[in-house]
Amino acid sequence: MIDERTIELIHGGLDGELDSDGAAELEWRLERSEEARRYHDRMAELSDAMEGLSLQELPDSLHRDIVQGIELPGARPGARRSAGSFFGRLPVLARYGLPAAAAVLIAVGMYEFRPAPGDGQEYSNMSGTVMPAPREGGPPLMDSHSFELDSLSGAIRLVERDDGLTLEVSLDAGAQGAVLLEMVGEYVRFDKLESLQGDPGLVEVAERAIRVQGVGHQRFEVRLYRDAADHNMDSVIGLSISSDGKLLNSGELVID
Amino acid sequence: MHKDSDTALLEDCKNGDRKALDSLVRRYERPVYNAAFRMLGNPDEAADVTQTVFLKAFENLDRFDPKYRFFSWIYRIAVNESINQFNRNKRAEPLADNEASSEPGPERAVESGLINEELQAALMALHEDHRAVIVLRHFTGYSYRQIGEILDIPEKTVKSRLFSARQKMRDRLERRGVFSA
Repeated sequence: MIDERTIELIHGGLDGELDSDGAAELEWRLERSEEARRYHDRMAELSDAMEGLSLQELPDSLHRDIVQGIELPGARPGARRSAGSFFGRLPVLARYGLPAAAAVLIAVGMYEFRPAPGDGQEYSNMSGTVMPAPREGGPPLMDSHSFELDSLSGAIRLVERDDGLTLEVSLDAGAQGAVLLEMVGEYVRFDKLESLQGDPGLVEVAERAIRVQGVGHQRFEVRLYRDAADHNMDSVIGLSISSDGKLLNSGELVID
Repeated sequence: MHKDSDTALLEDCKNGDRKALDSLVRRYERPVYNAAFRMLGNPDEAADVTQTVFLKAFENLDRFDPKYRFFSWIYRIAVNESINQFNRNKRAEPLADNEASSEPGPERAVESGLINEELQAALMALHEDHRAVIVLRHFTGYSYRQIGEILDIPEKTVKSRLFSARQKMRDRLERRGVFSA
């Protein structure tokens, strides 16, 4: 039976917590007890194995997500960039709820399509998903959704650039007040925020969803890619625009 | 543990300096993530917890008493958040006792990578209070005194939990054939 003092010294020695007197006492005790030496060796083997466990690398976007989610004192009023409850819950939502949420978003609302700035396409009075031809001098447009409601307008364009799919988002809330644009991917994953103009109150990009909340003019791009395992399924982005909890507009973009 | 520079960066953060925020997050994000990962055994949940930890810390910055150290505050949040998440997981899906299943022999135990898995499994089999001291000792390298400060428990309790946790881990790993008895 090893006494408590010896056990304390053994662990203290392994953890670098002993002063010279403690180290000398441990050595003396180990010399006198085979059982203590065996216990020491067992704990040392475990300790070495634990130290051998590799440190995990931080996920790519985590630093950005953390920093963007924090509001500091002195920041512009209303310019909250919060990871908030929505973003914090997204991984769970992404696993269980987002496909269902996308289906709801897609099913709700009538679409009004208007040409996005510079499109060169005529989409007036069309409803549903459109698949215009590639623009000259620009990346091929796969799909788009535009809306204009009183003092709120915006355009979401899905383009295929040489380096991959990109979602170009332009939103002008004007005097509308705070609006919420939510995009939910089904068989598509959002990668990262590529560029950001204006100062939106909040832009959150998670694997399966994007959420933009704020006022004024905002323009940003998000890289995305289809789920490789689901290439036989349509990749769809459901989107909704709301203000004060009221749905103003909704639609979908389909990746061909 | 960067006490002075942490304090200076925190002051800058309180004045809205986002570069200071960036520096402070960079300093602690990896160890916090690793601590959460070892507490939870799941990289996605560890990332969620890490994000929540920093969000909560900075949301409550005005409640932080500068006479304490920033690292102890942020690790305390990390441990608490990890335990909360672990308990939510337990409620959602009771853990099966995987010790009885798939008994590996010593030959299997020495296969590359398996020891790491067995160590993590042994960690997850510990009570959360015991797991926390092991994680803080081995994956953040804090002393007994600092661990006591983080967990707000006496140093004597840190020691007893650490010794007991190691013994339990060792016993399990011997039963699993990872270590010889």
